[in-house]
Parts: sequence; C-alpha cells; structure tokens
Amino acid sequence: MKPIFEVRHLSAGYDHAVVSDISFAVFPGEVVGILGRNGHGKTTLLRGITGDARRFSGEIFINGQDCTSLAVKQQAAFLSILPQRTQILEGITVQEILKMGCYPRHGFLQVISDQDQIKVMDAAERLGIADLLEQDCSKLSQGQQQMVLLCRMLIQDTPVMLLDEPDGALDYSNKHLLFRILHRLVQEEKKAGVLVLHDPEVALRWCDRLLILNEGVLLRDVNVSLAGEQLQEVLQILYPDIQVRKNPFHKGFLCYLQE
Amino acid sequence: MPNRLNPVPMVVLAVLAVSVSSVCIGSYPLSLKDIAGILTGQMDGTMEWRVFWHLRLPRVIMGVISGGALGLSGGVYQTIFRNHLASPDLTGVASGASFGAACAIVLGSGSTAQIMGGSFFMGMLSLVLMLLMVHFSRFGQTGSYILSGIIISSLADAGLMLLKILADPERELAAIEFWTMGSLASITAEKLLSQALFILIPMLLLLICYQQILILSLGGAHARSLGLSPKLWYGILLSLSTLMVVGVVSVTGVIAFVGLIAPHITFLLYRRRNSAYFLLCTLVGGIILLMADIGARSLAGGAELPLSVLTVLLAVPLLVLLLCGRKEGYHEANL
Amino acid sequence: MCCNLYKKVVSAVLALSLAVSMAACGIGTDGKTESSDSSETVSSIELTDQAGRKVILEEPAQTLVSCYYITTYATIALGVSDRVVGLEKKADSRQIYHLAAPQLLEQTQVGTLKEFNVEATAALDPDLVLMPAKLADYADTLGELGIAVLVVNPETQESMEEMLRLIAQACGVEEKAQALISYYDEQFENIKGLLGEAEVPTVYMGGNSSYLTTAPGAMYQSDLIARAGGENVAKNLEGDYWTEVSYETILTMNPDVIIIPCGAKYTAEDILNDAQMADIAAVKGGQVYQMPKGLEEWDSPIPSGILGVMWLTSVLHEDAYPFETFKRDASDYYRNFYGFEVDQAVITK
Repeated sequence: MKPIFEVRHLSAGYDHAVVSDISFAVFPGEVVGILGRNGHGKTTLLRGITGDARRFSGEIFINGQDCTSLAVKQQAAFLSILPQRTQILEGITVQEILKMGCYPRHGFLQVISDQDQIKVMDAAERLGIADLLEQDCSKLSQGQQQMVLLCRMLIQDTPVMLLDEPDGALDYSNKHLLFRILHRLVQEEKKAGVLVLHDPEVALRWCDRLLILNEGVLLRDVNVSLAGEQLQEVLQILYPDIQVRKNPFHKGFLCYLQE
Repeated sequence: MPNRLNPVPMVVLAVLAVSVSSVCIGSYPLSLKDIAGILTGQMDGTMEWRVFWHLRLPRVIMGVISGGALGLSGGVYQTIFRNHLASPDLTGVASGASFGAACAIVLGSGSTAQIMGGSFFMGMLSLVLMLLMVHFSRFGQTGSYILSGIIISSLADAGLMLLKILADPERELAAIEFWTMGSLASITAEKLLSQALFILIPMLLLLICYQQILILSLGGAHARSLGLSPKLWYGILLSLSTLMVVGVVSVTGVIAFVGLIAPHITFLLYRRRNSAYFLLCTLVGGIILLMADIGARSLAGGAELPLSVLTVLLAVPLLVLLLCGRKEGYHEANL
Repeated sequence: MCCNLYKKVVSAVLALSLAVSMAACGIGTDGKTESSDSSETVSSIELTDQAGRKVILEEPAQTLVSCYYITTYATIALGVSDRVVGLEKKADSRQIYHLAAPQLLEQTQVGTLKEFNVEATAALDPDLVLMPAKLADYADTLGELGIAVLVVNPETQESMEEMLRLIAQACGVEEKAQALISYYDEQFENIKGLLGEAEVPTVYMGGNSSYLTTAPGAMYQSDLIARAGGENVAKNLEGDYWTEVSYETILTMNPDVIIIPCGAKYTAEDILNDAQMADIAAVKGGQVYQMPKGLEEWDSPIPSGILGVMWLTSVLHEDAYPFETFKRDASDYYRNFYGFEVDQAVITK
C-alpha cells in the first residue's frame, strides 16, 4: 500500500531549525500520534508541515504530490489543521464557521451552492451540532467549539488532517467523543490523521502508530499493536519512570508513573 | 434564532431619513418644496438649484460615504486584528495624511489641490512603509502590524509637530489645526467626484470579502489551513481600507472616533459578525457622521463647528446607553 | 460632463425618498420662483482681479459680500458700505464700523479666513463677493453657483491702491478711488518735502501678540517705517510675517524708537517697566509710542494706511510735522472721505 502522506527529511523552525531531519509516512485510514515533552518541537513540526513555520529543507508528499511548492490556496485542498488554541471572536455563528470549510474549493466570489449547504448540514448532523448552527460560536463550551472546528475540517474534506492537542481543553467525555468521531472518520474515509498529544494513555487508546519526538529529532516510530513491554520501553525514552499495562477492562493500555 | 429581525432595511431607512433632513438643513434656506421643484426640473438654473447640486447634495453624499468608509474600515480592523481598540488610524493613515496636509500648508501654497494631494500621498506612503516594515520583520503576526502602525504614526506625528513649529501661528498653524479636526464645509461636487471612486470601489470590495475577513479573525493558522495566505490578505484588506480612508481624509481632514465607535454600536445592536455586520458598520458610520455634520453646520448659527467635536459628543452617549442596556440584551441574544 | 450623469442618478434616488417625505409633511413655504435675470446690458464691466481671474459684471454691483476686514474698510472709504449685505466675522471688534458705518454691524457674517460659509453667502445672493487671496479656493465654488467674485490681495501700498481701483470700478464709483489715490500721492510728496535731509532714527516695531515679535523687511510695516523717515532695525530679518526675536536681539538692535501697533495686546507701560528692556535707547529716552487704538489698523495696508505713515512721520519728526497738524489732517481725512467727525481725543501717541 502506498502512503497517503509522507514527510521526508523535514527541518523547520523560526530563526533556526527546531526540528530536524524528520521523516515519516502515514497510510490511508491511519491515525498517527506525535508524543513528546513540552518544548521539544511537536507543534513546530505541524507548523513546519503547514508552512506556518519556516521550512529549511525537506519534502512533503500527499497522494504522491509534492506539497512544499504549492500555493496556500492549493495546499488547502490537501491539508487542513486544527491549531492548539482558537479564540473565536464574539458574534460569529456556527454556520458561518462551518461555511469557511467550503472556502478552499471556491474562487474569489465564494457563492455557497445548495450542494455545499447540504454538505454543511450533513456534517453538522454527523457530529451532533446541527441544532447549534445559529448560535454564537464564542458562547459555546470549549468541547462544542472543538466539535465545530472538527466539523469544519470534515467539510473541508482534505486527505490529511493535522490536529494539535485537540483534547487540550476538553472534559473526559468530550475528549473521548471527539477521538471516537475522528478515528471513525479517518477509517471510513481512508484519510490520514496526525495528532499531537501529551497523554500517552490517550495516544495508546486512539492512535494506530506513535512517533516519539525528543529534542527536535524523531527517535522512534512504533505501532501500538506491539506488546505492552515494548511500548513501555519506547515511552520510557520520554518518561523514564512510566509503566504500561494492558487495560484489563477495555481496549488499550493503562499508564502510570512508578513512585 | 429563526425569529431574528434583519436590521439592514431599518438602518437603510434611518440613513435615508437622516440624509433627507440633512439635505433640508443649512445656511441657505431650501424647503422640501424647493427640493421637489429642483428634482422635477422646475427650478433649473435658479440659485436654489445651484446651491442644491453644487453644495448641499455633495455634502450630504460625502457625509454618508465618509462615515461609511470610516465605520467599515474600523469594523474590518477590529475583526481581523481581534482588537476592540483598532480604528482606521491603525496603519497611521490619519497621522500620515495630517502630515501631508501640513506639508502642503507650510511648505507649499496650501491650496485645496495641494492639501488633497499631499495628504493622499502621505497617507498611502504610511501604509507602504508599514507593509514594508512588517515584511522585513521575521513573521507577519498581528502584533507586528499594530506595532508598525504605531511607529509610522508616531513618526508622522513628530513631523507634524516640527511643521507646526515652522508654521506661522496665525494663518498656517490655524489652518493645520482646523484641518486636523475635520470638516465637510468645503465639500463641492468636484471634490466629491474626484474622491468618490477611491472610496466606493474599495468599500464594495471589502463588503464582498467579508468571508476572508472572518477567516482572518480566527488567526493566521486557521487562515492558512483554509487556503488564505495571511500575509497576502492582511495586505489586501489593509490596502483597501487605507485607500478608502485616505480618500475620505484628504477631503474632509481627520474625523475622530467614527471608525472606532461605529463597529461597537453595530455589534451591540446586532450581536453578529457576518456579511450584514460589515454593511451595518458602514451604514451606522454614515448615520453618525451625517448627524454630526447636521450639528456642525446648524448649532453655531452660520459658523461651522469642527466635525470631530460632534462625532465624539454624539457617539459617546449612544455607546454608554447601549453598554448600560447590555445585560438584558446579552441574555436575549443567547437564548 | 460626468456631473450630469451623477445628477440624474441621484435625482432618481432622492426624488423617490422625497416624494414620501413630501406626502407625509404636506408643508412647503413659498420658494423663490424667479430670480432677476434680465437680458444682457451692452455696457458690461470687465475686470482682471488680483488673482489674475477675469470678472465680468453686467452692471455696477449693488449688493456686496465682503469676506475680509480690509475689503470692508475699502467699501467705507469708497462710500459704498451701504451696499454690503454680508461681511466677515467679529465685525463688532472693528471700531471704525461703529463710527462710520454702524449699519454694517447688522449684516450677516459669513466667515473667517479659516472657514467660509458658502451657503450663507449664496443665501444673500450678492452681485459681487469681495474675497482675499487666502480664500481664493472658494472663488471657483461661488463661480459655479453663478456668483461673481473679485479676489484681492492688499499686501503693499501699491496693491492696496489697485484693490481700491478694482472695487471702485466694480461698483461704478471710479472717481472715489481716484480722489483717495490722489490724496495719498499728495501726502507722500508732502512728507518727502517735510523730511528733506532730516536724520533717520532707527525704529523697532513690535508685533500684535508680543513685543518680542517684530516686522521683518518684507512686511508692509517695514515700508511704512521707511516712508515715514525711519529705519526698521529688523529689516534684514527673514520672513513675511511677525517674526520672533529674543531680548538679546533687541538689545543688539538698540532702536531709537519703539512703535506698538494699534491691535497690540500690551501697552507702552509694559515695555517701559520691563527690566530686560531698560538699556535700550528708546526706553531710556522714553521713545515708546502706540498707534491709536480707537480707529483703524493704521499699521496695515488699509485705505487709511496713509494716516499711519503720517502719524509715524509726526512721531519721529515732531519738528518738521507737529502732532497737532497731524491730528487736523486726520480729522479732515475722515470728514472728507468717510463722512464722520472724529473725536480728536482718540488720536494719541
């Protein structure tokens, strides 16, 4: 199988490179989690992929097409990102935010077609926010706002979706709802999901593969179907005292720190 | 909220009502009957006819589109920079234009054409300088736009102070002061026509671009993700608004407060930011300026008051009133 | 012309909204239905004003709007002040209006040098508007309204005389201007004769706002001093308006006489009591004089500016031209040209 998304030898940063020589590939229907400690370049890696940070070298392929030389507008047809924090200005309705997802497909005069309207409604219903369409988005809870932005990604309908700590502000149940929806979406539509995460337990539960990023360098690329001991060894690169055990009640693993 | 009223028709009616009363008020007595006669062509060639076409009507139209331009650019800036204090002078346009006008008054002959040309040129120059500064700074974040704007306008203010020292106190200094307070008193059909396109075309384009403006309000990362280059679009939106504001300021002088306050009044009334919001900012700006101008030419009995005094006097109570009534409106709007 | 298209479009929009408001109000005062546009007269007056514009009048102007005190003074000097229907702001502060033409105080005031009310001027519908060069931008606007404008620029004695001739021609009273100008020539000759080879004292002229400003060589006031047989100590200064100087500069100039203009905000006492000024020759000799406050601005290029020259001649050369003689001459001037009797007590020095 050919990878849907491939990063080759990417170095990116601001004044100087924060992450260097990163290479990895994501296959259709796969959710990949990037784990790393604070300040070790997870967000910079995503920003380097989208072009928000400066790219020093490297290539990015989506469906075999080189994305590094694309114009912003063309890139938006391949790649969408949900940034870490979003401050939504008071007064913008959910519907208005969702319609932005149609923007990359339209020219300068963005006429929203009936087809788009249907698409917006479908996506909103799928994520359970159809009754919020006329609400002021800034007045919604963080969980609902993340759901709206995820819904916008769904409408934008790109093969690759990047999410930077999407669970940051969410409560327990919203967090799992969001990941469940995302996981199903990626599998059903054969997309590629790349998530920056900080909770290893969440990563082990919802991702198919983990990338371990330390001091700007990609150290390991592991499949979560490995045995618990192997995963523990990998995670100990980041958190030396971590213990990983098979979850006896459900899928996934339990993690804790040894005192 | 399906039963939400669309306020646009109501505000359009309000603009028309204020315009009509504005057409009827002035030093030259023109009754509604005179105006009907003028419009139906029964009074061609009379003094009433000439006053109406050459002075009164251009003044009213200029009032509406100036207020509209300032209100709209304030609305756009406050949205894209997510800053409630952003106003049309964010790019240093007003300071730059004042400096240009002062150059014309002190160093040139101070004729109308020179003042208009000088302020237009300097206003646009301050935009170009600002965009260059942002371009050569490392990254185009919203903060660097605001900072560059402050630097440019401080520079222009320093130049203005220098010129004020050079100016002779009774004629040139007075002319500079008068210019920086704004007035529609000297509007004629020629001045209106010379600037109308500079103001109306960017205005129309900005109203069309409302979705890009909203996308930018979410920040650079969202914009890029949706296929909108933040740097390019900040540049486009800033250029369009500056062109529009400079078109206004070069004719009327600096008009305070309309650009800052019109978007706030609009938001407190409407509580939404969408295509209608920007249209409403424009209309509300027009209403404020027209009403201020009615005051400017009628309160002092024949003398003209500076427009900026009245825009502030008019807008502040309106804003306070809206802010006080905000709590109830807040809950209603969120049911 | 693009104007027409604009008018058509806006007519359509406004006609609609007005129809609504007309129906609602139903009020309407009687509009002026016709204006007195008669057929052309053969003997029209054609002038070139001081801004180089062509001004054409069908007949002598019977109603005038004057936007500047000097042009209003000119209408008094030419005996046509009863034709003035609108004038500049702050007319109350001009003493000569109270004395020579009190009716002026009742007329509409249409603006200052900074802002000028075009609509109010149009409402007066004058035959001619007299406008200083500083307001010349408004001349075109008024021209479009079909109102004739005469732009004048009295900066020197000569340009003031030309202004008098232009206004007189426009009003059909050329002989009045001629009489005034002959009087000026006669007096200038007279002064020249009186002065002969008399010594030339140095003169410092204070400004209106402070005596630390003075008239540089390019100002009318400098000419005035020269014509009156004095030497302006500041004649080498740059500028064409009251220029600021320091105490040190005045001490270096060390003038024999200090002159205070009519409109000054300070008095001779202030200068005499200023310790910094004590060493100046003029102060030591008590030679500090103020032009009379109660009449006109004799230090400016106004029709009675000749009296300023005569006054200063008498101040500088009392022996050749006694002050009592000057008082008599000034009274004669106002009696003959302005038609009122001046109170001798207001002529001071």
